[in-house]
Amino acid sequence: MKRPDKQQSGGDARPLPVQVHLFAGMAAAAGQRQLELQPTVATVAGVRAALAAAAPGIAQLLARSAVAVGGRYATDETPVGPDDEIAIIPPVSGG
Amino acid sequence: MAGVQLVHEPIDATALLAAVAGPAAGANVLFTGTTRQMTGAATTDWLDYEAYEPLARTELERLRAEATDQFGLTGCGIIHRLGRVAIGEVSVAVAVSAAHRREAFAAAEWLLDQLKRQVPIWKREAGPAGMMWVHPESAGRPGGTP
Repeated sequence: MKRPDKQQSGGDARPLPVQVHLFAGMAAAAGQRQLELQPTVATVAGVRAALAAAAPGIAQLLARSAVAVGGRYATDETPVGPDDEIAIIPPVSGG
Repeated sequence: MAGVQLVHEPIDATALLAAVAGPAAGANVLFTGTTRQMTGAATTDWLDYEAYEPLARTELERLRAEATDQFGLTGCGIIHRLGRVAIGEVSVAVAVSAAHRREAFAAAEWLLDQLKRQVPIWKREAGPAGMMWVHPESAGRPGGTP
């Protein structure tokens, strides 16, 4: 069910602006705690790709990070929308 | 029964221990993690903790519920401090109560192991070389992502 015209077709596949929250060393490396991305695929994998492109300096740490959507740990397949709170969770060091 | 808390003020660990006590408990274990000055030859001046608070609370509640179920606890409380924590001050306190000591010791250790892997809290170390966030290489992705 390929849809090569998805950029023009509307619906879920259209790029959406999403807000992404950064923490700790990732916020320090990116120089900001929040940024807006336009992932071409509306999933966590799409957010990862858009973030790595927007801030190449954090790509290595991003690869070791989890992503939370709506306050829960998500997988790469988890869908995202403009109203979702998306947070990048680098390796933790509490305790 | 005590719950979970993220606080910006000094932790009263004695009060946490008292909060998990009760007539069903025969064993009460209190763990406190404190800011250590020396790690090998490296000096730490202070630590600074940050959390993604909504998810940190959710994860701490989940761990508390799992530990209570898995180890048959009669009481369980977890407090993590955020912001600047001076040398010797408590950054994390875990108190558990159970009928017998083995379950209580095991539950406290399990909770600390899980907290250090799963809960979105990060420390920044301040020392002679400046300040650096700690993102352990060995930790793997939090959240147990396959």
